[in-house]
Amino acid sequence: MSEASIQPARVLPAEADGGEASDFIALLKPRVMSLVVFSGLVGLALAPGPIHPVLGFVAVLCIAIGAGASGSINMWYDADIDAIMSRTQKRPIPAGKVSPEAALAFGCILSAGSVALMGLALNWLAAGLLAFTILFYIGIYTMWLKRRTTQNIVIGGAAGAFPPMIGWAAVTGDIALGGVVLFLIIFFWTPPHFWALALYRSGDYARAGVPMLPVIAGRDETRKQILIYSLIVAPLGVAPVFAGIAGIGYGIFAGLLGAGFVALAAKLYRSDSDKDAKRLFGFSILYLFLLLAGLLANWAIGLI
Amino acid sequence: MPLPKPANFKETMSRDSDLHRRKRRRNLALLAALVCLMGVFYLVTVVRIQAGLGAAG
Repeated sequence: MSEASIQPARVLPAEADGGEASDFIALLKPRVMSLVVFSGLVGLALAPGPIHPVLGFVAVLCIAIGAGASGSINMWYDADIDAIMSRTQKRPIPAGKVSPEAALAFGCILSAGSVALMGLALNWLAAGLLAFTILFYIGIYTMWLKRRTTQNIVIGGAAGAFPPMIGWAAVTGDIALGGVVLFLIIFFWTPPHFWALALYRSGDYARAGVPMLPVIAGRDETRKQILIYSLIVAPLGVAPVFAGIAGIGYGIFAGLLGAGFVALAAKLYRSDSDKDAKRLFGFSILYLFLLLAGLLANWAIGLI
Repeated sequence: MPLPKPANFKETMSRDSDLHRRKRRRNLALLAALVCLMGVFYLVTVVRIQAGLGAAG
């Protein structure tokens, strides 16, 4: 199947009848939001300079709302393919709980509100980065790349990598090496994370017409790419030590985690089993969480 | 000729219908969100004013 032959699915979602508050919370993709909030918090903490706790809270709140808002607009645009994929069929729009128009309006209002609040409370560089992230996720990833190329999550992954840089900019008002290193870690972590998921969900993606790498290039190429990216992300995990935002203890911890990541990717490369793909997917979430927690712990110890 | 009433007309018109309960919950959630937003704006304003006074002083 060539990339050009992929056509977006055309299944209209069920009729919506208004929706409850919980349905609107589901539109914000709370699980994705939690990782975004955590990475934004790490950027905020590691940035040099003080920030008032209230303003720090508001910065994280704005990052969370902005991420959730872009998730809501993403669900509006992807309602047709969400209705086909088993993983996403129960989302509020395909389940008929919220109308697509309400989801779009909800996302747009929250996007504008989070950017405005970030600009007024913190600074306009952080607000600009937040606005760019939302527009990148919606315009570049969701509307342009997702249904057109196997590189969708490679380039689109940048949207998920911006929050620590936004957190950093909220404190310092500029973009520095530390923020860029955090961006790069998440940017290179994203492809192996999503490709591991796509390996055991490739049928879903194929039915929905989403050209994920396993659907177009096959499992062998995907496993090779996962291994290559894991070999990049593992040393990048140690890079905060060289950027001066973490100590040697963190470096050893990140090195061990990276070795685990590469070992699981190599195992998947050799075995080609869904079980190993699921294991790598699960570990990739734990990897990023522990890496960020390690940075936060390193920062907290430095305060004592 | 008057339009026929839907089968669930009585239930829908009642203030305790499922639709009313859901709408009420949603409206209360929106009210809570707006109150929280007001609180956030108030706190940010106080902090920014204090920071401004500190810098001026």
